[in-house]
Amino acid sequence: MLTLSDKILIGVFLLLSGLSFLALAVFRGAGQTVVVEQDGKVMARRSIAVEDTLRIEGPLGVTTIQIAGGRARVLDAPCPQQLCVKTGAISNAGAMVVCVPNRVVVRVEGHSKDGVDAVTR
Amino acid sequence: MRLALLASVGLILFVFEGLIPRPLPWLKIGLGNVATLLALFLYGAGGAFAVTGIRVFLGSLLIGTFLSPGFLLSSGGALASWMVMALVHRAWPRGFSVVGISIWGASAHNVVQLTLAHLVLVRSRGIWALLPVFLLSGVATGFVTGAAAYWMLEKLKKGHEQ
Repeated sequence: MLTLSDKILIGVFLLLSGLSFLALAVFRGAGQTVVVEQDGKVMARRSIAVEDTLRIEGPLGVTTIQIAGGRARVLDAPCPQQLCVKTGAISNAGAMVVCVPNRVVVRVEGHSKDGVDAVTR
Repeated sequence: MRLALLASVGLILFVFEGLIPRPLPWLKIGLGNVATLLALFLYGAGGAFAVTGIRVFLGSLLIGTFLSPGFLLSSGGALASWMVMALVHRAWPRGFSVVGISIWGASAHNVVQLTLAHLVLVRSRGIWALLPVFLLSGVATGFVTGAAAYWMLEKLKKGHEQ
């Protein structure tokens, strides 16, 4: 069924996927800040350690985001499929919850904002 | 006439797949692509385009997503998938089997959907964190639909010989 090119193709894609998993894992530290974006604009920045509830207005209505116990989750959303609610709580840097219909992104950011931990000379 | 038959097969598979509950809501096998693959291998790129176009248009009307944000993603993904599959099939007609072509198509579909989601819906670079998952699922779903199309093509070949 599979030709040689098929097998090479599968191998290359699996390798690419594995490498990008690794790259993401390396750049991912413990989460520090919860960033909420609506339509690409940053609407709120909160420490993940402080309990808070945010209400973000989107084209469909209000998305409610809860920060509690060092984790962030979408508590309630006006979208039909509720994928953002079902995603559950996130806590790692780089993790995110996306609500496409209401154009809301909840991201967790790590310690260093510029992506550099240290510079050696 | 046969293209219309394939288009309706694709449409039925597409709607039927929507009825199956999915454990991971963002992961879809893309069974409708089986019909596109058959059209591509039996009738060429033009036939595959017709089968895909009819499925995307009528499918979105049937499940009620026509012209919604999701429709942009699904039609963009389907168009990219068709384009890549037709190009690869033309450039290396003997190189890739229908399974390989299917994986090309599924991967193109996923990458273009992610790009469209970034450009149009969620203007955040963070969305690219999903790329590894999408690449992996493209290989898996492409393999499943490609294997289904391979099996169908074998059956059709046997039917012609008898």
